[in-house]
Amino acid sequence: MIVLDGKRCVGCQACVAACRQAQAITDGVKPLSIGRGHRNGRYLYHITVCRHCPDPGCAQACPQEAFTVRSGVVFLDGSLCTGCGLCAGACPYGAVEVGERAAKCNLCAGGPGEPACVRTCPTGALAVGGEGKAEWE
Amino acid sequence: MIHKSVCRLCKADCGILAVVENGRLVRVEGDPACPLNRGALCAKGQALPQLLYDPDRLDRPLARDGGRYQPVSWERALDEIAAALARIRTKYGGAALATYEGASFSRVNTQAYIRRFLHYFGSPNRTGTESLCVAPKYVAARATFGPGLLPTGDFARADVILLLGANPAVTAMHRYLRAMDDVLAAKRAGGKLVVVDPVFTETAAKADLWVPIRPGTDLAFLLGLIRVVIEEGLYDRNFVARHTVGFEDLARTVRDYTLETVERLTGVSGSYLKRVARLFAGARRAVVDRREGLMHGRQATQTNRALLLLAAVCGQVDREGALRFTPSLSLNRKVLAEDRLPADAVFFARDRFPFGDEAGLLPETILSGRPYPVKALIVTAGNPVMAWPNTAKVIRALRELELLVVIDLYRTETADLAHYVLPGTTCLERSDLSTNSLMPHPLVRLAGRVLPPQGGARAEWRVFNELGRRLFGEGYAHASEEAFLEDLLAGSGVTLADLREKPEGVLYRENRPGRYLENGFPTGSGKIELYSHMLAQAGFDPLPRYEADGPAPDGEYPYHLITGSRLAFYSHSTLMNLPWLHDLHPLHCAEVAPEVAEAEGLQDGDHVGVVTSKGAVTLPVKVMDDSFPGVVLVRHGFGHTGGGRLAVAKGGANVNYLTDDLDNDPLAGTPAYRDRVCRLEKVQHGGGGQA
Repeated sequence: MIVLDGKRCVGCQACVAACRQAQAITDGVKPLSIGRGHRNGRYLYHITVCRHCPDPGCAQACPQEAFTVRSGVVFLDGSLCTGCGLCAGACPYGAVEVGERAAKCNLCAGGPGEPACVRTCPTGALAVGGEGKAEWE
Repeated sequence: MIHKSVCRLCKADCGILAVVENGRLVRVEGDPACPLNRGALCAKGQALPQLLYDPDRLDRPLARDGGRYQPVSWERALDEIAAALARIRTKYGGAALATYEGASFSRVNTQAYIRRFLHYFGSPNRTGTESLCVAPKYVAARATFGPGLLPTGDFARADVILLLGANPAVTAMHRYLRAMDDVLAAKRAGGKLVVVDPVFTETAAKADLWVPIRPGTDLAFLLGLIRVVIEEGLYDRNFVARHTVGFEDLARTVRDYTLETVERLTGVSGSYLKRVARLFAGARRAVVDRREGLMHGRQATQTNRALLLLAAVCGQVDREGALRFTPSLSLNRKVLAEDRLPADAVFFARDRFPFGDEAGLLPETILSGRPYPVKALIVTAGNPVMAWPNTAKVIRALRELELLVVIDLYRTETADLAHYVLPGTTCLERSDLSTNSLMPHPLVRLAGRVLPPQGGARAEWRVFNELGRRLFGEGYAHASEEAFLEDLLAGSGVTLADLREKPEGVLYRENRPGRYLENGFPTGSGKIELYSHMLAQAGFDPLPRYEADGPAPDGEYPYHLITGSRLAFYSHSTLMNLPWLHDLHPLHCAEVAPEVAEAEGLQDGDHVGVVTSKGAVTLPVKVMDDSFPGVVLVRHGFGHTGGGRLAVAKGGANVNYLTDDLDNDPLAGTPAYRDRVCRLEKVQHGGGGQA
């Protein structure tokens, strides 16, 4: 999964735009989003993005079987999606957004190099890590 | 096919890889080989494909016919514009024409061909956004180090970084995208970051010390720092003796800025001031740097001077990890045809501001006819209605023009006042030279065309070349955009062929620190001028002194108003029409200090009228996380009535209805956008508005 180093993040949203470009999203959906809280003279940044669960609720909820798990990555094939939104309701992390169709982080599977958000971050705040990383490698 | 080019949506000029398949741009990403952005790209750059293919772009020239616009051919538009220009020149003289370039468009080559056109025409009146923006730092650097030297902070190697009115997390310091990355890297290596800013910003949130300061008083703070550094003997005696002139004068001037005085003026406690002074002066390598917060005050040039003097007395100039100078590329001035300009031609605002070419003074000049009539204006990729101070007056003045030509991607608010609107290009559809001495590298690149102009658009260079051909004959024109660039590069040591061969760019000179310390500075004295002879000769104070002579908060307008703060995903008023970006800043608000919200009984989502002596706007309230007391902040670029459907739908209000065109820095002329006063009026209804 994509992990965020809050010490480096400045909330510039380059990752969000990069993801939208990578997934050719046109309807305002954010497959990843960056939130911000304020405490003790600091901004605390957090990321909402697919955690690539081993037993994903989104996949179970989808009547179209648009979700598949491949090498530890939960992959959504948008071309199969009808936009019913059941997957978004089933995700405990709020990491699937639905506009005309559902969209979520596929870790840029099949793309060149690291995911687009990781490559574009101007402060190097994003990385592929956590549990998803071991399974991804 | 992958094209290397340069994103020119802001001045950071990131290297990009543009992927084109079957004649269509399919993807843009940061170029890992570019030393400026090192593979990264901000949200704006990511959205380049949507800008290129925006369905709301203009696709043919429009001519105003009564109250309506009719599509016309390029040939007819250019013929009619050339004829109108010729009439105006005959009637009023060449100086009756002025030009203005928008922020993202302006590059060395665009400035050169526009100056060439104006000089042939007989006009000295080129303006650009730098006059509204960074002019004070240019003047301050010239007065201190001599012409052509612009200091830039060597963040990555600094032990202490002191920033005033700067938010590199959002703006990249107007230099290179990785500026904040370098600041954070210096911190990780044990360095300290101090941020002086009235508002708690994304950069302040990363600082070791955030110093909230009363808006408009940074000059007093800096003079207080210099006093502590001198009186405690923390300055670099050897450096001062060898490389500066005027130390005794400076030491006498700062004597008045005691801890108590500075605390009263700035709201910063004496213990903080002392702490910052000792930290900065005690560092082996230290950078003091600034951005727009120090450009948009009433004494902006002198404030920037004081900042440079602090660096100089501490010996933090022209050294590694300090303020450094990147040499600029010498271009062929013959291209500018300066000899065509009549000897008595004087820039329209020169009598008011000796050192800056202030665009924001055009409305006053147009309406008053003084010092001479300005009757025609060509605006290239700029939007005076959104950007210039005192919008109501800007609109009134633009309506008075006999000829207003706007070259733009969209039917903007300014285009809606034009006689002719010409469809311009994105940076992917034209070729520019990218070189900027504010960058850490002396790099020149061909920011090359990736695709031909889309629809009926034409490269802006061609518009000026064709108008010039019509007005001044074949001798004026160049055969192509490339031929013009070749001509501009003549004698620089770099050719267009070099740049084509190396799309990642050419380093045109060695960039080693210490060059000026060894060989002298290009000032009259050959040294860093703490006492500026340039300012003395022009009749201005050769030493910076704080003068509290502007409008201060009072009974009628009890709050400070800061306008002009930027966001990371728009460039001023542009790019709000792109679906990937338009919702990244959800709502344009009046952002108020927590203590202001309490005093006024305001909460997030309430609506207020923000009122100044110039006008009023209505906006939803957002309570800031933290701020100096009494501060209201309204960002610029919002409140579109043109520029595409999503941009209009974005709502908000044009903050420049609140700003003043005649309250400026006396040297550079830059408007005091961030040093205003206002009152708040709670209103019941929702929605944005402006009047």
